[in-house]
Amino acid sequence: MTATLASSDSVGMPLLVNRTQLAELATRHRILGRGGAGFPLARKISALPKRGTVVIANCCEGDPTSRKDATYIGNSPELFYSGVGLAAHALRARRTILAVHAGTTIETTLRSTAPAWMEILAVPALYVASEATALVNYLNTGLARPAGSITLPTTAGVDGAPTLISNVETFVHLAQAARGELDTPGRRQMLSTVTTSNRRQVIAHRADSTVERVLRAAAGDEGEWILAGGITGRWFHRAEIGSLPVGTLPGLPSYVILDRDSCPIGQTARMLADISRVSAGQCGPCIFGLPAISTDMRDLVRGDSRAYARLRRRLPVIAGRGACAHPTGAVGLAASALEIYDRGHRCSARCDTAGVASRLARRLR
Amino acid sequence: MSSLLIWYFSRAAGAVALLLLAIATMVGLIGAAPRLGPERRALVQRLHRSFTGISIAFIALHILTVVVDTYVSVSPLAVLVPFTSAYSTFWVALGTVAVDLLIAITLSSLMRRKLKHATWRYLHLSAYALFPIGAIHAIGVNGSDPSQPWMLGIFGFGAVGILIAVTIRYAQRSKTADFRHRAAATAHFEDLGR
Repeated sequence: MTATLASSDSVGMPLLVNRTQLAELATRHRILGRGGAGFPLARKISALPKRGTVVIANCCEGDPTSRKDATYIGNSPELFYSGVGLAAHALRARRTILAVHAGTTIETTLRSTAPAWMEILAVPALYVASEATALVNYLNTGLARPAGSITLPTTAGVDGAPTLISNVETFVHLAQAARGELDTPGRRQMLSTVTTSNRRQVIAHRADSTVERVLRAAAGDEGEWILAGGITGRWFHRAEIGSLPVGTLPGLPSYVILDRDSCPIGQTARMLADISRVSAGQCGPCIFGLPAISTDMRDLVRGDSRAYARLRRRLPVIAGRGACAHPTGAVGLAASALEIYDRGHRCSARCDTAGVASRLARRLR
Repeated sequence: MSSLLIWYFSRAAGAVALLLLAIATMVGLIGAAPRLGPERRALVQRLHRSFTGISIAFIALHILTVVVDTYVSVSPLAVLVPFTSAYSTFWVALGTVAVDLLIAITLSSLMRRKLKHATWRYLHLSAYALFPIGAIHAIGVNGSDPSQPWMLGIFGFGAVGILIAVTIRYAQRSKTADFRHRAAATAHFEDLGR
């Protein structure tokens, strides 16, 4: 562990000596997982034993609407490494792994700047490969698919060892907390990605900034429909989400502003087709459910009113099933598109599936 | 090949190396500017490595030819050890110091993952000295080149360019002074394409 010590020390960070102190730090600063689920870090840490653990920093950022992790790693990799080093040291990690999508710019940065004692794991650049159990599964078996195991990684993960898996930003927060530079949850700095019809913008802001403020900070379209929380997020009308503080919203801090000429239901149809395409294809809900609702949504765009009933019947039976949250996320997206339908939005011949969704889809594998 | 031809070649290679070194420094500085998206940053950093690489190649040519050359007497030892050149001892020594520094910086970057971040960073900060030392070396070695317009052009381009790059690198700091970290001080744009 001398390497860990040296690395943490080199950025002037006080070293925590054990798991309890690490958990206390995470509790005191209310550090939540920043990969989208918002799971309290302290609870993950407390579930781990005092030694013999594996620490994985998930640097994949597979969602095409988000670039916050790439920005953290591109701008200040040392802060991130010191957070990972801190956790690895406190948890007496036997392996410390930076998991990254192969062939991305994040991988290039990690390979040239990460401390030598951290392993860099290049996983296939597939959307589902970066899910926590998929990372463990890939390390253990070579299959980059969600494992669907009822055993949590914190109980038995990589090589059967209790494994901590968390997002880049979570480790950045940990490093800031250890230096006494992490503000209270409301005042905390965070990065959100705002996607307009042809570009993505990463905006730095305080967690209590409203969505509207963040959207305004991003120059671009003035559309009224906002997709919040990534490609498996939900549609919101700008008026209903605008006044909410970004830090309180679940899911990825990512906002797609739909331009006025595009239709949210049409975009949803395109996105569902892509979400279906990139599934691991190993459970019923993804093999049968996603193609079905993707077709239904396309039919709804084309004016088939019976498709609405089919979706209403199918969505509840898909949600919550399968080895991972992939189908559940797709259902959430589809359900929020149906809410727009319920408000009276009807697709015309102009509603097509081209637009921002197709540009994002190109980045989705 | 006549000795004079090698001598001309060496001077030319030195001038080109100095120009490339200035560009490498500028690109490196811009690659560290806070408001750069990750994609562009990776691209700029690759450019930085490429310019440094080509610059090193020209410096190698410059050194090799000056040692082989018989017009002035510079021993192979003088390539790495300062003040051992018979010809223009002090000014050649400056070139030697720059080469030693460049070797240290390059090796530290190649083994960056094995170094403490602070070690790498301080070594890399010394790269600021390379262009000035190289330029003074060029002015000092007793030649007629430094007063040529094209050589003055290289000096001016390098000095002004590096100053502009330093401004780009550090100017955004004041705007974002309330942010505690560079990571959180970012806001950048990235094209999604058509």
